[in-house]
Amino acid sequence: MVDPLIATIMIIAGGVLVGVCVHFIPASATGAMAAATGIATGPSMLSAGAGLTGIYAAAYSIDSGLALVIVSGAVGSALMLLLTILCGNIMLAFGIGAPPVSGQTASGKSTFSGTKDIITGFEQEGYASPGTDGHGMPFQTAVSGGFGALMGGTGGALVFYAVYSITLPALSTENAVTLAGIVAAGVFLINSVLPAYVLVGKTEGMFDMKIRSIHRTFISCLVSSSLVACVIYAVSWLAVSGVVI
Amino acid sequence: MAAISLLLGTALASFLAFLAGIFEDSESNAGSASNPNSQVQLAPQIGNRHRYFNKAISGEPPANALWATTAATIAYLLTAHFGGDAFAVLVASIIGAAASTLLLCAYGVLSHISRIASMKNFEQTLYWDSLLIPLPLDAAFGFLTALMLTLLAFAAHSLLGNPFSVPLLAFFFGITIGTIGSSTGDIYYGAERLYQHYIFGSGIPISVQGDIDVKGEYGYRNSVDTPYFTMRFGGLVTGLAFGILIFLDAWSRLFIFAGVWTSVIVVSVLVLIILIFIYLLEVYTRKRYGRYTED
Amino acid sequence: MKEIHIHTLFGAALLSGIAGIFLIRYGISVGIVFLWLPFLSAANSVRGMAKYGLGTGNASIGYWGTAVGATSAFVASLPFSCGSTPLLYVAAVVTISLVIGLVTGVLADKVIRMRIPRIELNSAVIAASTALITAGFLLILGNNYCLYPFIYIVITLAVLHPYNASTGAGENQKRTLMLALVEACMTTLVIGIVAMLASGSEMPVSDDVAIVVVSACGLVIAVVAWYRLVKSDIYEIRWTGYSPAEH
Repeated sequence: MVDPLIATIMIIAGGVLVGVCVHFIPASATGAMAAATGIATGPSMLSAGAGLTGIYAAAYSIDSGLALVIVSGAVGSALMLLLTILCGNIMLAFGIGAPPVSGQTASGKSTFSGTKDIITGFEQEGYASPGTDGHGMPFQTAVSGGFGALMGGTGGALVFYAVYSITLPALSTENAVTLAGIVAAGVFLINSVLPAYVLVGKTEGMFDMKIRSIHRTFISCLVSSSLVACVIYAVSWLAVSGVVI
Repeated sequence: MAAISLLLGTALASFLAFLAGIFEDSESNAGSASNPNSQVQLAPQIGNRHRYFNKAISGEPPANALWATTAATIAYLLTAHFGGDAFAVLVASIIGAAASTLLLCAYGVLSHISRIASMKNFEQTLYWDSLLIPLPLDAAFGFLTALMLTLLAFAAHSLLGNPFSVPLLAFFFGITIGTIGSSTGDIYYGAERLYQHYIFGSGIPISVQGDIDVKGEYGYRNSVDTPYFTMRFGGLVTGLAFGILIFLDAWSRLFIFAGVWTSVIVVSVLVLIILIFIYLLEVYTRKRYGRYTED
Repeated sequence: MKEIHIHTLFGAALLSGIAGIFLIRYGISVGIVFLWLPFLSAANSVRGMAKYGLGTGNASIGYWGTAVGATSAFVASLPFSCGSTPLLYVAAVVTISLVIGLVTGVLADKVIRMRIPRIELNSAVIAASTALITAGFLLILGNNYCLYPFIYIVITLAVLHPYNASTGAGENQKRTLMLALVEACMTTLVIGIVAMLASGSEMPVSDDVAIVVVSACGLVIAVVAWYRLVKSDIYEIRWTGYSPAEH
């Protein structure tokens, strides 16, 4: 269990991590027509799915301390995202017949200039179907996605553990766990939609030029998470001190 | 005793998750849903009047979360009425899934009619049979998805020992399966089945979006013609993704060689193995397909 | 046709929601009828925000607004037990959700620079309306924590669906709001059924049966009215046929 003040700071940190992780996870809505690089869903829904899997995985270790909860949330989230990337690439390779290629890198406009994949050095130009902005998930986006999912899972587990600690004195254990889970999901969904407006529906992860707008997401999520954290702190202080209004 | 329930829980949960993935993808293709539905919505605007079931409820994660949570909540409340043992869980889950299927039918019918009502300028007609013929197929797949997810939530709570309550677990599973189904199965529907008259081997350029298949193998195509095609590949890969996820997550908890940190170590190793597989697949695809050529 | 202004609809929804919560708190469950107006105002604001074709989708706006409203209501329900005065509970819920909704709207406008007109107003309205609805449902269903995810997701879908389903060139506010009324009645019908199951007694409690009956009547009336609007807006309705040759 942690002190309520530290738990409030944990909620703020968790909310910010959740917001920032959306920039790292490659997603695009038009990927469903193999017309853009990235996982074929919207960025906010994808991060919500990955993060909620992390909270699910973290709940098994709720009695074993803060460090284990955070790490199991992070790796659970990363497992879900990488499996999704692998199966998406399988679908693309054998169902559509196109190799994974990063459209932004192919046109030379990614964060590090040049038309090669940063990590594997594969040439991207010429592999994309003409008229599309790339398709699938090349290796640099997969690594970026894994990193983003680690952050998102950590953030979700932090919020979950913090709300659980704050409400535990006032409720029975299983009620506190369920309330902590739904409040963590709510904070997750509030914070993962804000960066979706910065990204305008499509991003290729940390090697996309849109990573330069990350400060806007950081500030917005910081302010909204602080508000929510203060509300939770005030309400739980009222509940724990037995004030029934 | 604890080990037996964990083993049984792992096997049962992965099996149910695999089936749930297949059914979820088929349900989202029997009524055109989520991202590929933007193509079905776009088609009349460029002149392709169609006979698909334009079921635009929302993205797949919140929709699947609704079906799963409704079914699980009603099942959870009914289990106490029926006595609380395994048979009560089965019967209550079936009743809960049936109730959530009625909700699915209502939302689906309302979406199709109101989408077409907003397309007066493009002269898209509302054909009653293109709504009522796929509807039972869609409802059947939706019922099976909700049933599998409810039973999965019960298995995760009682056999695997997750402290969350059953409706909350169903909510999480609903959002996760919606995300996975939208990311894997929808690519096959959106880029292959809707655009079959474009040759295999490329993505769909932005310039031809909306030019979907309106005619099928014989006559005009409607949404019943979609699941039998996509289930052969898209549905199974979606089921594989979700099933392997639940299996690996539960299987990693069976090891106990390092105390409480065992499952984290096992999952980290698995994450690295999956990264290696992604790399190998990319190498294979690039070697086989090569650069884009016009033929 | 003239459009209903956001302020008018929100003001009416606020008064109606507060009246509904008071009625429910003092035992008259049929007061749930007064919760239908907040559904309309939330769906109207989702329409106001999503009309500008952002690239993020109506679904994201819907569940983001509901997350703000419902989380405020869930968190605020902690210290307030069923024996408390409803006025204080409602005031707390509405204030918290308005503040968070307004701040998020201001952030979206000034920091993220989304360039949607009146986004602060719309996001505050969605947050406050969904918070009112959640508070009303919590009073009906009692403090059973296992039902929270269900309340959250059923409100999310009812709020985001009307505009998402009516999207198109021929969309108008009257038909969208009538569809929102249909879905509000469907939602309260399902809540009534769950309340009957959650009450724990063998025979259904008469209050919950009253909710189900009233919602069913409302649903029938709303569907007939909505379908009349559809028939006047649609291009053509036929049982079956082939599309004319492509133009």
